[in-house]
Amino acid sequence: MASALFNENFLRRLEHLRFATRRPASGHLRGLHRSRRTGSGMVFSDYRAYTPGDDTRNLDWGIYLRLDRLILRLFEEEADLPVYLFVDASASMAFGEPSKFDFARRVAAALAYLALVDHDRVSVVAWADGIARELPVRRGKAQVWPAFRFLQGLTASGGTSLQGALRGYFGGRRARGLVVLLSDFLDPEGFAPAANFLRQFRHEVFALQLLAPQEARPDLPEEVTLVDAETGASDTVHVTPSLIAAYREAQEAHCRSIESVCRAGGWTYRRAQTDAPFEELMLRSLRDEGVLR
Amino acid sequence: MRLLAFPPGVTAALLAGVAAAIVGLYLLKPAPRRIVVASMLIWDRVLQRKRRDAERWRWWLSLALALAIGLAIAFALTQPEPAGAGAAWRRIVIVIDNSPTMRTLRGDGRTRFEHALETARGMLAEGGTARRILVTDTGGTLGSRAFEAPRRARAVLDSIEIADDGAPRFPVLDAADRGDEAPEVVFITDGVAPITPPPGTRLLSVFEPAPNVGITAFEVRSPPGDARRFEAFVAVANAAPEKVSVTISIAGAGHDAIVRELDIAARDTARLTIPVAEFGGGTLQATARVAGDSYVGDDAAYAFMPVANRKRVALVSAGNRDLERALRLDPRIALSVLGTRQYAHRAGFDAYVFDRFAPAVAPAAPALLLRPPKVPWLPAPGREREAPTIDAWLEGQPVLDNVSLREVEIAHGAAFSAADASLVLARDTDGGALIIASAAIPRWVATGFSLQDSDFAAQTSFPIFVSNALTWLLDETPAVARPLGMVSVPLERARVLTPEGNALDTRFVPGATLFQADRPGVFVAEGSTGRLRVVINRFDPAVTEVNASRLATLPAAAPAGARAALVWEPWLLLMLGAFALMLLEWWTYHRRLTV
Repeated sequence: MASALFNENFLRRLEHLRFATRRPASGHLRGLHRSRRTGSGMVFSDYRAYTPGDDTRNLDWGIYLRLDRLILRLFEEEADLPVYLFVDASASMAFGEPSKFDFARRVAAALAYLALVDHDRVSVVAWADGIARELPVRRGKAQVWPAFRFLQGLTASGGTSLQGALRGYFGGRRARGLVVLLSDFLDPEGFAPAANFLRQFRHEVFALQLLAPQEARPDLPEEVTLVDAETGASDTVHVTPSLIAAYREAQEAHCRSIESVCRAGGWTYRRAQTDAPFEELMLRSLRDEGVLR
Repeated sequence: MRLLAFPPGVTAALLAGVAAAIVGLYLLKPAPRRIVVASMLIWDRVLQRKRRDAERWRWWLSLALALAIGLAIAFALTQPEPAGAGAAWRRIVIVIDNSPTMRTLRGDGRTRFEHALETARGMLAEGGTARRILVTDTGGTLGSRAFEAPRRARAVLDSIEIADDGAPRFPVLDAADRGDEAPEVVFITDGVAPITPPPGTRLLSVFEPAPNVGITAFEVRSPPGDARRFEAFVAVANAAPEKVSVTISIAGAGHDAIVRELDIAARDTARLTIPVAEFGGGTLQATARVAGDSYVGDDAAYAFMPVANRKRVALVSAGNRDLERALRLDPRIALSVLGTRQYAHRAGFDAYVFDRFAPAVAPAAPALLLRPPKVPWLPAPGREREAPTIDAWLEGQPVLDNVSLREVEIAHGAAFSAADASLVLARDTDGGALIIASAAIPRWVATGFSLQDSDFAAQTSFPIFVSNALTWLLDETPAVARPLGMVSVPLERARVLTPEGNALDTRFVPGATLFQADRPGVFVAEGSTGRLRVVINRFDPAVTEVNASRLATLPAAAPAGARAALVWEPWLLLMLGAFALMLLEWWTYHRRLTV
C-alpha cells in the first residue's frame, strides 16, 4: 500500500514534518515532543535547589562559585506523543470517486508514518457504528509496515456512530495525546455528542472532514431514487436546480456545524475534498492548520 | 358544433384515444434511476423543506398541459365548426364551365379553362371572414358536393377536368345546397356552350375571341355503281371572324398523304370531296391546319375505308330477278348467276346465295339461303304456315344493322327449329325462327320465306339486308361511327382496343358493350359473334364555333390576385392554441415547473 500511496520523494519530504502539539506531550517514553516533565532534555526549563540524590551533572557550577549555593539546572524532558488515528470505516465512506475511505486511509497512513518515524506511539482505530477494528499501540519506524497493512485490510461497511466508537475506545485508560478523526461525519446522532464526550479527555483533536466531489456537486438525473448507502433507505426526488442549490446549502451548513463544534473545543478542523491533491494537503494544508510543523 | 372532417363518433373516439394515450404515457413513465448516495442525512433535511404536495402539483400541471396540447391538436384535426356559424358565414357556389370549348387557347397561350380556374382560385383566396364554398362544374364530373372551407374547396377545384362528352348543363342546386339563405352563385364560363344559368347568377367571362378551324364532317364512301372508287367527304368550318387559309391533309396506309389548300371565308364552312381510292383501305386521318389555331380538339378526324377488292359471289337460283338486281347493286361483289344444276360443276366463289335451293352438302364458302329445302346441314324448316308476321329481330346484329322488318309481309313461310340454330335473327309472332344464322365457319344465313312468297324484295331495307349479310358472311369487319364519350357497340362481352391496340375498360349490358372513348380514332370491338370497327370523332359544329359566345360583349374576368387574408377558422385557432401551450410547456419544463 505504501508504494501505491506514496513515492520516495513524498516520504522523504514527509520525514521533515512532525506533529505540532499545543500542550506538552504526556508520553511515558522518550520522544521528540516537549513534555511537562523535566529531565535530561536539551531545552533549559528552570532552576531548583540541589537535593541529595540529584544528578550532579546538572549542577550549575557558575552559581556555586558566585553564590556558594548548589543550584540544579532543570531541562524539559522530551516525550513521545500518543497519536490516535480514528478512521471512519462506515459504508458512507465508500462513496465517491475517489472514495472517501481510500482518501482517509491514505491520510491515516501518512500520519502513522510520520508519527512512527518520530517514535511516537500510534494507535489506529477503524470505526463505523462502533469500533470495527483496532491496531494496538505501535512505536518505532519498524511498525510502519504493520500499520500500512492494517489500513490496507480495512473495508467500509455499516452505519456511523462516532460517539459509540469513542466510548468504546476511551472507556479504558488512554494517555492524553492527539486524536485524529478522519470521517465524513455523516452521523445520524450528530457530531456534538461525540465531541462532548471526547472533550473530557483533554486530547488534542484534529478533525479532517472528507467530502467526495459527487457530494459537493451532485450531478443527478431529473427523476431519481436516492438510496442511503448505510441504511438502504430510499426516496424518489425530482431534481431541480433549486433543489440542488438547497442541497448545497444544507451540505455547507452541515460542514460548518462540524467546524463550529471543533473550533469551540479548540480543536483543529480541516475540510478536504477527495479529488484535491493529496500531497498538497499533507505538505501544506496541515502545516497551515498547525497540525504539522 | 359541426365536425367537417369526421363523424361525431369518430371524433369522440379520436379525442378519447388521444387522452388515454397521454395519460397512459404519463402513468407508464419508466421508474426513476436508483442512485446510491453516501447518506440521506443531508437530502432528508433538504426534502423536508420541499413540500411533497408541490411535486404532486407539478405532476398534475404537466399532465394537464400535455392533455390540453394533445386534445387541441386532435380536435383541430376534426375541423370543428361552431354551431350557427354556417348560417352566418357567406356561402358561395362557384360553377366552372368545363365544356370542350374551354380548351380554347387565349392570347397568352393558356386555355379558357385555366383562366377560369385561376379566377376561381382568386375568389377562394379572397380575404374576409369565414366563408363556405361549393365548387361544381357543368360536366357533372364531380361526385359529392358540399359547402367546404376555402382550403378544401381549392382541392375540389384542382380536381376538375374538361368533360369532352355529354351535354354540358348548369348543375341543379338543391335545397341542401341552398340552405336557409340563398348562396351567391358565380358561373365562370366562356359563354359558348348552351348553358342557361338561373336568374341571379353572377357571370364571370373567360371568353376571348380566338381563331379556330375545325373538321365538322369526314366520311369515306363509294359513289353508286363503282365499288372500287372511294371518295372522302370533308367539311371544314372556320370560326374566325376573318378569312383563313387552311391546309387539309388526308393520310392513310399505302399512299402519300393527299393535301389540299383552300381559303375559307369568315364563319363559313367548306365542303370538299377528295378521291381516296389510292389508299386501298384502312384507317384514314384528316387534319385541318391553320396558323394560330386556338383549339386543337377539332383539327383531326378519322374514317374507315373498306378494302376495295371485289368478292366473287354465285347466285344459285332457278331465276330471281329481284335478288339478282339487288346483288348487282352491291359494288363490292362480282356476281355469277348459276342454275341449280350448274352448282355442282362450279367452284372458287367467295360466297353463295341460294334461292329456294340448298345443296345436300354444305358449301365450302359462306352462304345466304332464301327458303332452303330440308337438307342435313341446315336446321329443318317446320310446317309451311300462312302469313307469318315478323314480330322481333336483333337490331344490333350486323346482318340486321339498319334493317327494318316491320313492314315485310309474308304469304307463306316456315319457321326453323330454333333449337338447332346458333343465332335467331328474327322471330314471328309465335316465336318461330324466321331468319337464322350460324357464326361457325363457313357462316351462313337462312330465311324461312322466299322473295316470291313475300314483299321483302320490295322493301327499302332489302338491299341493306343483302349487303349486311354478305359483309357478315365474308367476315368483312364493318365500321360504325360514334361521337366521343360513352360508346355502345352491339356486341356482347366484347373486348375493345384503342387505335394503338391497348385494351380499354368496358362494361357489359345485355346485347351490347359499353366503353368510354375520350379521344377521336378508330377503335376495334371484338366479341364472340363478330368484330366491329368504331370510328370515334368529335363532329360538333357548336364546339368548333368557339367564338359563338353569348358573353362576347362582357369583359373578361380579371384574376382576383393575391389578396389572400388569413381566415381564423376554429381548427386554426386550436392549432395556434396548441402551439402556445407547447411554448408554455417548454417554458415551464425548463424552469422545472413541470415534470
